[in-house]
Amino acid sequence: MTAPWFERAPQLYTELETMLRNRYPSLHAFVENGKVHVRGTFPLDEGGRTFDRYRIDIVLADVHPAQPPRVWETGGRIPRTPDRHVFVDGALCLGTPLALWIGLEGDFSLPRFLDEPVRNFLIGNSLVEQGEAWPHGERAHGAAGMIEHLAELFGTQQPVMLATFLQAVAAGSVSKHSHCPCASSRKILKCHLAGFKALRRIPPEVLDQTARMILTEFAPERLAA
Amino acid sequence: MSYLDDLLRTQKLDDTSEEWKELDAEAEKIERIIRAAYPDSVLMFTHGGSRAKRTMIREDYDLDEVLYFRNGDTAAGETLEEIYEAVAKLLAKHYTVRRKRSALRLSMKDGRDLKVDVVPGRYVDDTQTDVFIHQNEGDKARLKTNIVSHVAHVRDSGCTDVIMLTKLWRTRDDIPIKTFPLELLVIVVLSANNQGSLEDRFRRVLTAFRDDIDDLRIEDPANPTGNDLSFALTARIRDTLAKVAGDTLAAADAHGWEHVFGKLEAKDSIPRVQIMRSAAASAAVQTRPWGPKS
Repeated sequence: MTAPWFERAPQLYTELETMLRNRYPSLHAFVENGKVHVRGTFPLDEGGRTFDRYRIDIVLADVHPAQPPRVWETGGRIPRTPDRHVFVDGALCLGTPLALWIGLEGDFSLPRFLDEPVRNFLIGNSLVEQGEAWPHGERAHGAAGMIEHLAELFGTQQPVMLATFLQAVAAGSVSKHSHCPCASSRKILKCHLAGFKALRRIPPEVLDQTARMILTEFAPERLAA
Repeated sequence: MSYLDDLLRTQKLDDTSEEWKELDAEAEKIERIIRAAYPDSVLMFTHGGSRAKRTMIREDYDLDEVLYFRNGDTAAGETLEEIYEAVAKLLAKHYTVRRKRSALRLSMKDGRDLKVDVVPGRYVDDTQTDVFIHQNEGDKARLKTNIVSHVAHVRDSGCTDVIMLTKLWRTRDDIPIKTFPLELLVIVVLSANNQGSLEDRFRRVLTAFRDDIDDLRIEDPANPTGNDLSFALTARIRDTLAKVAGDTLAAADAHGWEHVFGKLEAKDSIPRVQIMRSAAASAAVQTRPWGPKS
């Protein structure tokens, strides 16, 4: 069994602690049960001043920073319901897996993760508490939310088309000279090239997982086949 | 004046603060409910906790209201547990009641936390000094304590300013230690030397937490030999205190206290929602929350 990252590379753990002291002095790293937790309060700042603060517990992935951490709000402030974008185990649903991979370009280092999806989520929650809408919108739950995101990249909401395309990209059997999944009859090169480029940077297992979730909900017969 | 003195000033709550007035109004309402239910009892109903000790901080406060029946008064029940439950049921007609170790935490029916804890108990004897309170957890079902002794121990320690700052540090860093054991720890550390500026003494506390946490012993001033406080200072809590104290000192040494605690609060003329919207608009990457299929 491979040792966890903080044992294989203790200097990375030391760097994590130093980074926290330098950038987020109210967050602290702890090793518990073979996992690295980062706990404390996360301030939401604007114009150099803190306007809100959340108690959080972040569990870094065993292959940190190659996979996204998971985040819990521990102050009892965010109701643990799907409507508030919280998983059954209490972890925050910061975005669809694919959207997080694309948005962060696969960089799940803690500063980037905190400053982008975590901060966005918590600011959004503060606004929701005030009766406002999520500032950048919110995704539908389940595969529908994944399709919403993919539709922005490829201009189609056809679940089977999108899932098949994701699987093909994962398998490496599609190139920019292939037909675009939007059914425009044009090559990707002349159509949704940016979306294709974004997908090509995503690990195949993430693409496959998204494809399987879409098929499970929208075309389970395809999955069985 | 140093940054830490200024920080403390922004955290102080006193008789004139709105938060304090709101708590008092709620406490009076609770007192009326309880006195009406036990008209033949002579009840002691007064402030305990940080309000009485004068160590309340704006960022993390609540009001502890103690409710003591006289020795031999069985109006609310024969046993301490019966008293605790009777008061809980009475208050549940008006509030949502959460049962804590010895206290009853009150929220409005709509879920809004009132930040008020009611601690029922009964005097041990007619001297009306020590009381027994019910405990839901731990080895003993009842605890002998003395609120007057607790309050005096903290209020008259000469350390209330450092205690307030340490409480703010505890809250900001989400350290899972209860207020009373934290207060006792600060007093223990500073009992050897309470000289110097606020910063000197706060540093002394953090340094002791970082270097000597396993050697620090606390005892209940109301019952030093009888009450075991080990549940309030477990190995995990000690480790967390030591780790966070070390991180905090390192951060303060490298970047100063303002880096640790942030810019001092200022009265914003801009509405809070507008500040939030502005913060949201500055996002480098606009992520949208998702969720599992419900």
